[in-house]
Amino acid sequence: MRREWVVVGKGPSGLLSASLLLSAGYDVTIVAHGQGSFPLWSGTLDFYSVDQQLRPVAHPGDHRDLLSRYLSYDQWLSGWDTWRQILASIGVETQVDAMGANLLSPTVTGVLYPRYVVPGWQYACPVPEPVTVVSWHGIVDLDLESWAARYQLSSGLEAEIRYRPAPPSWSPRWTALHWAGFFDTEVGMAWLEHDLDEAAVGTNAQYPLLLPQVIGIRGTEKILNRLSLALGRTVKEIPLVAPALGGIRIQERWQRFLVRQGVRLLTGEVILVNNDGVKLADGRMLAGRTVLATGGVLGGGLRVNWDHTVVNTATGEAVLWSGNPEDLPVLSIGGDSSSYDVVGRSSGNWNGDVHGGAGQTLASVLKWWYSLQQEVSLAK
Amino acid sequence: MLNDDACLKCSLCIAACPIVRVDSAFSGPKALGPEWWRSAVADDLQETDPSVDDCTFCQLCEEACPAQVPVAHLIAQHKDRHRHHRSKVARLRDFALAHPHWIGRLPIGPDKVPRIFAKAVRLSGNADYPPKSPLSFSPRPSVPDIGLFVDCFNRDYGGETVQAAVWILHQLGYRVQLVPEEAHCCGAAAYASGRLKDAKDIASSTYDALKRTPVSTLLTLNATCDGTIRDEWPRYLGLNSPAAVIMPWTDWIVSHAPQQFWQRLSEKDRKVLVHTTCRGKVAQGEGSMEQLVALTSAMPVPLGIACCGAAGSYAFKAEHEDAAQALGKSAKAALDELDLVPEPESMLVDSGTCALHLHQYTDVPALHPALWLYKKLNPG
Repeated sequence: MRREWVVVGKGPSGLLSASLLLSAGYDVTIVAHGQGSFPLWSGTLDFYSVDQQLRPVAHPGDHRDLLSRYLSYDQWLSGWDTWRQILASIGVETQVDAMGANLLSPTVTGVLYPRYVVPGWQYACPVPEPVTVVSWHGIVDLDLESWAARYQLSSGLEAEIRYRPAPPSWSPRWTALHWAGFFDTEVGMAWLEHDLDEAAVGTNAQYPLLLPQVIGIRGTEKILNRLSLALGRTVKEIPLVAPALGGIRIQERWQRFLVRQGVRLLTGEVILVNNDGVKLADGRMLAGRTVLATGGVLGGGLRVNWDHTVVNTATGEAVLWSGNPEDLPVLSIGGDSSSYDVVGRSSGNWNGDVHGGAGQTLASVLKWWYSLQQEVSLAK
Repeated sequence: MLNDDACLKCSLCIAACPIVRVDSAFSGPKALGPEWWRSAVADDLQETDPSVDDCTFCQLCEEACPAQVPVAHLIAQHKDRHRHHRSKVARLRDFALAHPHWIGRLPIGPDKVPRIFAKAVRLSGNADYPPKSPLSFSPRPSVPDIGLFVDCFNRDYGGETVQAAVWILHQLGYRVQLVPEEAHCCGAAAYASGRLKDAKDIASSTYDALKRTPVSTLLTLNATCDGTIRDEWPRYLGLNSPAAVIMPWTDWIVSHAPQQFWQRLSEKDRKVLVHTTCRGKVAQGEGSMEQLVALTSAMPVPLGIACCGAAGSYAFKAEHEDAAQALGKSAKAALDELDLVPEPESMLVDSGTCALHLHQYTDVPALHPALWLYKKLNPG
């Protein structure tokens, strides 16, 4: 078995593949052209958490027939643990219900939705409970009235809401990143603490206090803990639309972790994959066995099917190489089908929005990983 | 360009922008690049956003884009359009700073410029400026194997670095030619401040100078010049590639120096900080300097930040003091978070202005990997 691996793509499946390879002692190079979908994702994982009628499924294992298309039940259970351990190693604690059932966590629009793994900063509960939500004028992606209405509809319980004025330095151009950057500063933190002191007056102190997901980038946990202590109640975040801080925090910590572990994180456009490795548009060659993690959630990438055919998600056309070097750059696949492996949320024609959550990322990477391990043990 | 109008409004660029996080008045790459372009260029409106000048031109936004929109280069067009609304003093200062190879010819170094004059031309009062350290030799082999690109910074303030880089290449048996033979600039400084015509003129003159001493392999000592010459000259400035191979000196050494070379070094138990500049991340990615450090048996420790805040002459401008300082402080915070024991003796970074800025804020001596290696091979 070769020691060098090239992972193409730096979204969740790319970094997950890299982490698994690294843990087994392989030399890993990640190469990517474009960001990856982390900033479009709050960081929660679920898989088949609703049934055909969109009713919540209490336990991820209740869909054994469907799950087995990907992994055995035991592989699934250990897979969730693997995911949580990897996140813990990069400094992201997660919550999961003690009985192995789904937790409930609200969506962007306020619907309580079953999730299997939820990052520590995001609000999640085993059974629905009434909540207090505080937001600020200027966070345009969160309409508290409709959020509260949908929360009440899906949980049957109250959501108290408080709108607060924006901080003095706010401008209409502020995105979630501006808010988060502000709260990461001493000035922003002091303003937040003071503002919540006032906002909490008259709310039910038994309820958890929820804030939009803009509470810092690097310092999130520290800030939330400080607020929880100061207010004497749980303080957590609820997700917003992109750019989503949950995914951004995970991405940054994960990339830092991998680079510190000796993984090369290269920028470049892959134009050729074959048995030797990959060739980049700028002429660089990277030697190693290749795994394509180019789900292309936004349509900017390539969808790779289980049968190893590659499709341009923007045009729907199969990606083939004419054989003429003048035609580059177009990703071309040389060698035989064993020259590259395939993982990703969009792999196997999977549409996460229709078929289930981001758990497909985990499923496809684990499926690949387990088969690779089998290959290694057979080779011995 | 083909993808000028391809923005999907996904906001991945905002997630990658270092300035959004520290400057609450900065509108962010999506608004300043593709959105501005759509209204201003496509619809022929003349409005500009004054905050466009606060962009460092790190290009991390463009690297992030899944639709391959030239986000940073649209922002450069925006800067160019906005230039005419700025004060005469600012325009004059920017014109001078866009020609760093002229500033290098002045009899005194920027660090010796009288404060009263600096203030009058809106130069920052709290940035460290480089002392003069000009190149004092020029090897001229009859048939060189390698051309070493002497950029504007290193020619006048990094003579030691160039000398070290040449010495090591000589040790490895290569014949090295310094190119271009007289002071030139790749055009990056002008491009970054939105002086597109100047950028083109400066780059063209450098291209002509490089053609006078043709080399097939061109090694660079600065990540920004590296990306500018290899990627931006052909894509945005209408120039051909001046050499068959253009790559950072560090990458060349890592892939070409034999094992015996590295065996002369034994830096075991030492920790060496590494910062790949923002432009380095965009041009090639992270990991080469880490590989170089690991080859000496020392332990590379990536600093783990996006942009240090120097951004060429960005930090030298008075109006950027706050942003440059905030990013510099983030670098210090990242270092403190690492909690390194013993404290690292050096930080490797492939840009002279970044090295100055990082040293100013972290107190760790920052230098190019070539100079670090040279010092290790020639102790005392």
